[in-house]
Amino acid sequence: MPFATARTIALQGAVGHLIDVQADVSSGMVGTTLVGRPDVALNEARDRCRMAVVNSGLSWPTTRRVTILLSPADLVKRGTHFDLAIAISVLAAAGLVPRQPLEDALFLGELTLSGGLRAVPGVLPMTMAGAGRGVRRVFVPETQAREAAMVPGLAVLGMRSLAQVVAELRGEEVPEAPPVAPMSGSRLLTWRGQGRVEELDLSDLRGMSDARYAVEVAAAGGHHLLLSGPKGAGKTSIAERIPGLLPDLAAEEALELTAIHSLAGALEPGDGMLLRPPFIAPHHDASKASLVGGGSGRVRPGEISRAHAGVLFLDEFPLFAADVIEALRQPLESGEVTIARGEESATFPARGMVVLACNPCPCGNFHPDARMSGCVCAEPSRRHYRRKLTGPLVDRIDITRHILPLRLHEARDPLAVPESSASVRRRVEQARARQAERFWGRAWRLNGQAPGPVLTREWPLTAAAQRQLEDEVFGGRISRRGATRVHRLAWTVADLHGPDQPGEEELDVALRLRTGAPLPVAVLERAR
Amino acid sequence: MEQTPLTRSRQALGRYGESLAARFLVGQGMVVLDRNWRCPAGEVDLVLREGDVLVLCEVKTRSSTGCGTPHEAVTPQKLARLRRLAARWLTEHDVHPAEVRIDLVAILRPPRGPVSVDHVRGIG
Repeated sequence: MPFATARTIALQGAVGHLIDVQADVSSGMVGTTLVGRPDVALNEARDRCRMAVVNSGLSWPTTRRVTILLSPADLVKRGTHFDLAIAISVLAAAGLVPRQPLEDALFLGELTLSGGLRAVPGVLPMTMAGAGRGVRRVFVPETQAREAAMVPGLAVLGMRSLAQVVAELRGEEVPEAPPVAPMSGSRLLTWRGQGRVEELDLSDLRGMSDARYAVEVAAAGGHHLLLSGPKGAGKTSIAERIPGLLPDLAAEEALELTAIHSLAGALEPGDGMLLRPPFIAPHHDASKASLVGGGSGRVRPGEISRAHAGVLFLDEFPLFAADVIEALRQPLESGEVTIARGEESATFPARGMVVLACNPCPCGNFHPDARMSGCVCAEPSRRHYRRKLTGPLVDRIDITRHILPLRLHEARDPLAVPESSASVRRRVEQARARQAERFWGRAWRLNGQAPGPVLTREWPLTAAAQRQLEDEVFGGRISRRGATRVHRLAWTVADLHGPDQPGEEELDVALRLRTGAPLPVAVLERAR
Repeated sequence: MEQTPLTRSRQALGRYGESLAARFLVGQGMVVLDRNWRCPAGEVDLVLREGDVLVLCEVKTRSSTGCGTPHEAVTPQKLARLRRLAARWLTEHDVHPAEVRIDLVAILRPPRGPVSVDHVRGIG
């Protein structure tokens, strides 16, 4: 029977489909056909595989007709990781590799002309998709064995070359092969080294008690945050310290985040499971596709998904293109991104905190106190800039804070020893533990992710506070959506310091956090 | 036209292959109807009959696989020409077979060692 099947995975966004690569070698017009909707890069696999086979010292059936089907045939397949499965299925159809060991195996990897096995993006999600569907062994490029091994219950075989895979399948001794260079240029320039952010501590910053309290609340409840203030006031410094306030990721979040980074091609060979919340700070030139996901060909996760369970920091956010800002609305609301294409749609999780920073005016020197303002902007340009600060995205931001430059007495105060990140993190962890207990068995973990109607129904404010919140809405001071966000914030304020149910005091703090009004001194005393 | 020794040796190899193919196919029970039939559209190496089936056969002979296997020398263009030739041959001879097939006989005759003959039925 000149026919054999090897398995691999086709990815649609973060969803993996098991693909049977079926090769048939029979007589007829000589040539190799690849059918089953391959895209351009995949169609080139015919030539890559043929040369890789020949240069591995094996023979490609050059006097026969080779037909390769990627089944199911209606799904569009993209990517170069099909190479290994294609080569193996052809070799098995030609009788050069036994068929039986292919039945429970998954093959992932791109082939080089010399027969080397090259790393491909998405090995982790592809392995996850194969697990529990009859797959027991996964053949992956050696540099990605660690990534595939994060999926429990599978035997992972890291290989350097096609010849090694063939030897393993034949049950022969695996030959030596030179190492293959990993994917290059995958780490984007916008990536600020996670290690650097982890080194930063809140104790480095003096004063800023208002902003400190705001980031503590944001970290505790997973709320979105807007920091405005003149340049040099410390917006970026404090935003970079938010990941340090967050606890390690839960097992499920860690797997999701690592899978996203794998899809984005942003996992280095040495990276294990990502356990710390990411800090992603794209430049304001970033395109819509790079931020929310998309791109030509394969749909890639965007920066907002790479910031899943962590922080997406948009510095100077009014400088981002309007359509880019608009595109962030849906993920902010739903915690996931859906990219719809003609034939496929991809969904990626995107439950990070969004932190926006902006100057008070284009030149960055504006101060409400005219004596301290060094602003040189013309009034129209200032107004144009401010319009961006009131758009629909900002309406979805829970906390707005204005940061003022450090005053002399704050900088010199010998008694004001700034609190360390570790100490704040303990409070954040306690507040998160209270939320986890409250939301046990629900699809969300944090107040910032809780659906508004459920919150109102099951976890209302005290009656007096509820009445006060209604007054704010009917008084036109906040929108309905704003009220929901204030409700969530009030719960986080209560989880951090307060009672079992948010009352008027917590509501007052929440309202102030939302509108940017100054916080009572008693509250600021808690965070120094 | 003056012929170089190399051209002559290539033609000799081709003729050798064609007669070897004819003997091989007759041995398989086929009947040769025509050899090296020419028309303005080209040439058919062998025309044969196998039961009710009319077979046009292309013979490719190589002395090494340095420039690829003899099989690989049959391109889709060559196949298309053979189809056109089949139609012309049928018209000129006014025969109406139940089925027409195009076969390939690939012969490899290395300078040393045994000759290999591969008959591929129905290449298109």
